[in-house]
Amino acid sequence: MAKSPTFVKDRQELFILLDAVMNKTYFQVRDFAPFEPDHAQVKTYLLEFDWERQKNVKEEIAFLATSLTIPPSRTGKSCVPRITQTSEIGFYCVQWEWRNDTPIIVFLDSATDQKRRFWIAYSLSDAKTLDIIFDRLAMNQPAFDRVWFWPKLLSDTQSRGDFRGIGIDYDYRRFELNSQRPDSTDYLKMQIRGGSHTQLIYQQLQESSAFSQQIVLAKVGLKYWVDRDDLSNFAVEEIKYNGKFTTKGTSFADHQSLVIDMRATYANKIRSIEANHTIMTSNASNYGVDGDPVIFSFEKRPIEDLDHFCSVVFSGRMPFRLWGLSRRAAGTDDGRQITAVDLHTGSKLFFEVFPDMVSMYLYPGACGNTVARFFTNIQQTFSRQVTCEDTNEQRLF
Amino acid sequence: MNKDSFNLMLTNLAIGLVKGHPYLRPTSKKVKALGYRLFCVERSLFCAAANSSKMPELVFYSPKQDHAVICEWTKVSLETDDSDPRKVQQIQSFLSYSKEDLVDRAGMPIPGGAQNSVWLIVTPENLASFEGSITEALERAMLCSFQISGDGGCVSYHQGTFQDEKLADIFKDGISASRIPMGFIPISLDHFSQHKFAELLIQQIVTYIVKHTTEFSNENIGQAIFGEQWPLLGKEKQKGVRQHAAKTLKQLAQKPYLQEWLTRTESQDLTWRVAIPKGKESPASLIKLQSRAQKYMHEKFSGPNSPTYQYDLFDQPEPVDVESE
Repeated sequence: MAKSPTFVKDRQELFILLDAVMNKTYFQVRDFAPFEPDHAQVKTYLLEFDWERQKNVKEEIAFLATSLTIPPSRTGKSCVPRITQTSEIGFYCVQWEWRNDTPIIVFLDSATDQKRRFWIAYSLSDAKTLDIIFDRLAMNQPAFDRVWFWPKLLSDTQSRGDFRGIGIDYDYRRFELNSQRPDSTDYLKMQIRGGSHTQLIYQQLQESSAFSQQIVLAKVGLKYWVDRDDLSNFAVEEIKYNGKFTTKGTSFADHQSLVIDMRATYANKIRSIEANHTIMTSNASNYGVDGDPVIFSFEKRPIEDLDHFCSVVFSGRMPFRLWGLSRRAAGTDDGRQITAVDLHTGSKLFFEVFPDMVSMYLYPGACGNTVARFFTNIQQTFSRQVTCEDTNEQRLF
Repeated sequence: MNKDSFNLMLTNLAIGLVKGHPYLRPTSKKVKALGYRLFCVERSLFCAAANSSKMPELVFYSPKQDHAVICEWTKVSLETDDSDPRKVQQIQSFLSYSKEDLVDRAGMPIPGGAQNSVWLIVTPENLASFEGSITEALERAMLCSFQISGDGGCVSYHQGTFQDEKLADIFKDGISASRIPMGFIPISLDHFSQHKFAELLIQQIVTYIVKHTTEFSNENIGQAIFGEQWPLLGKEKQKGVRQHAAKTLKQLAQKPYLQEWLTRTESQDLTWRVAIPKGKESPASLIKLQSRAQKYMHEKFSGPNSPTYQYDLFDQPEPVDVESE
């Protein structure tokens, strides 16, 4: 198992180190497969952070330490990370000593996104523990959220390289009534690794009458070259819907290039949602109303029990993280209106839920990531056939 | 049907019509095809002929048709003893708006307001009382009625027309909206329903919790709910909002199941303290607060003829994670 570095002086030094680990892992897997599951692979995470500008490095570190503190579980204590500033501004080493395990170390690039909003975290530490930490932070720290790669973004990215398998994941049990739950098996988690023939399996599943409505891409694998004329430099990637990249190969630069491209695509989409779909009234829009709601069509799989649907989505729980008061619209059972809060940012939202359609209104300060989170998770927990559009019937994802 | 829902529904309906919304298709598509867009909502506009400023509910315009529509909706009758004579004057002023008022003074884009018309919507029972108010301008004023049904409502044509005949033809067919998009303007500046106010107040409390704001005043609540419109309310209405916030907060704090989240402070300026109870810092606490707030809304506002808040479904256990099985 590769040893996690406790300190690197800058990103260049880290990239050289990660390049070496990627190469080592790739050749070990190639020459001595099957590879050990706990082998330390290079993990890269795209994260979203609601940054508050700080006066100086000292205050920035204090702010980070607070924002990245793992809250206590029922029996445990909270875990404050040790934050070390490298020689590059905005590039940190974060170290958690959690659950008496080997320290979890992450190198955090908070600076290369212009608005310091979409961070990149690199790590060689145990992936399972790190995933739990990020999930706990996303659940508890209002400033911190994962990104949510929608299925088409995953498949479009996969088509940039050679097919190396897929992960399929759905779990519809959240939306089942309590009485149906005890023995429910309405979930599926599947990982298919392999070359282009796995694409055939995926296509057949999509066309199958038994699976076509559920099959949602949760992970894609690809072999990626920045320069197809130089086939010796590549990255073999596994990209999960929650912004996690696991990689091996011969070129960290190729991996980094893919991460940066996905960050740009994701950030552009989120900013475009915020620009076009935040409802602004009064002075901010010269007494007009700017912005349009986001429309989710449930036509192909209507919501049968609106109250139950609302109790799942607006309870404040993961993965939706939406808190809302649900009201039956006057005089009918047909619709519900929900005055809601996004627990990620504390921003305000309003929803109209009908059996065949959900309208989402974002108000000033709301985050476009909420839309991606809602859409991605509805696909995985309710139906793949839900679509997301603007009011001009143009698909958003 | 209270005045709030009548005015608020019509304002949101009109915004949805000109901005486009799937609930309102195909009518909204036809209106958009004529190039109509929103100019302003509840903005005071000077009328030179009346030598005073008036505030229509909403104005929309079309550069393509070079035509603007000044909208007014009201639940009042002009025939009862307590009817407000200012309402007639107000309608006459709307009929007197000129291109100079809208384009030169108010800044409506050119083209857009070379001609203008008035769209007056009242309740079905008050239609007759308003007929006289537009009889001398039937070529540029349309009178309709609005009736709420289910989640939506129906706008029915009664008399008159617009300078833009194409738009008039669309509205003369009537607008039957089984759903109205209510999120553009969530609360009216003039009148707000108590349940909506309570929803927005509780929403603000949750926002405070998430953002770690621990203390706030009634004034803070008003500012947060009305946002940039707060200064437009005027001192009297602001006072009313503060009083209503105080009353609602007091009711919330008195509920045994909400007491631990909300308490009064000693301070004179910051009157309330919100907190996640000690030892309950986990997200489960917010989930608990959700079901309790829903319960409060149910107890306070649910009834056979008022909005229903279903609360017994909330607070369900999570399914077991697939990987941990």
